[in-house]
Amino acid sequence: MTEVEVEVDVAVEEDAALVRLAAGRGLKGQLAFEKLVDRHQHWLVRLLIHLLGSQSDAEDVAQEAFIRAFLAIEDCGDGSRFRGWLRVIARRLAFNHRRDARTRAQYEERSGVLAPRSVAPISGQVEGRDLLKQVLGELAYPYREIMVLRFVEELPIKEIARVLEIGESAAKMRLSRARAEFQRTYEKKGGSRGDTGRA
Amino acid sequence: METRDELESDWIHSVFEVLREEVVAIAADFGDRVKGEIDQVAAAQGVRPPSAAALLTSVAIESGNVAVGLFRRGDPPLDDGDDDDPAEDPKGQVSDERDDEARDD
Repeated sequence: MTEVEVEVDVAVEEDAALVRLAAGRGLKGQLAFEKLVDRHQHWLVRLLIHLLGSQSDAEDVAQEAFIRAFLAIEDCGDGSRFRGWLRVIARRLAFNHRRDARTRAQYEERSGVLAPRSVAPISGQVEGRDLLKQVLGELAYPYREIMVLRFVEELPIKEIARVLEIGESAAKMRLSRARAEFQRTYEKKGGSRGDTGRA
Repeated sequence: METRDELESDWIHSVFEVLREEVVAIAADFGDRVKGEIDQVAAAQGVRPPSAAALLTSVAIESGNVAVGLFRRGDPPLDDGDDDDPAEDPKGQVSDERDDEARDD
């Protein structure tokens, strides 16, 4: 077992202990859950920033995800999969948040109140990280979602399928299509296979 | 696409390296905000008794009220609700305002 794998195991055991305490409720349970917030807030907000493209939206959804998780902590089982369970909650909330934002934008457009639009950067000015974020932002949302889970979160297919609540073969097919769409858009915008995303 | 080696040899994986290494600065008070919301939700949903901090705060407020009450015990009430009594100033004189009202009547 590698050093990293040992660290992961220890983290999982600690999560499990905290989840058990949190499920016991009371003040002790609340303090245990607050420790879970400290341990998981950074990766959760980062994931949501990549899914939603906005830090403030990401923080709002992350906060909501923690509250939902707190209220339903008994459903987390033995707690060893807390991170994965929280990721599923956050992914559902992000999906709903994005849908609501789109509905709002469509309503505003129909009623004449124009939502501010992002200005497309002039070709050639976008490089590295910005290019990558721009390409991700242009992908259809299910593709963006699976690309982030695979290449930022580095989840195996089995875990991606669990988060997206689809079968493994459906996840493989979606990832394959997302890769093709990503490659097409990335190359169209001047990116190439030799890039590392660094400017 | 299942093994770690295969993932790391993938060119798209290399392109995404910059996002994996990106340090995301979340708002400094994010954790405190979440904990504050959880505290409120927990109290409202009755999933725990009031937190020690909330209890201490309420005790402090109660103590403050008792102290204020004791301090004011020797003072006349601000308003005894009896409008028939003429308002007198500390020197025992009827105020000009009351005089005006009497004249109007």
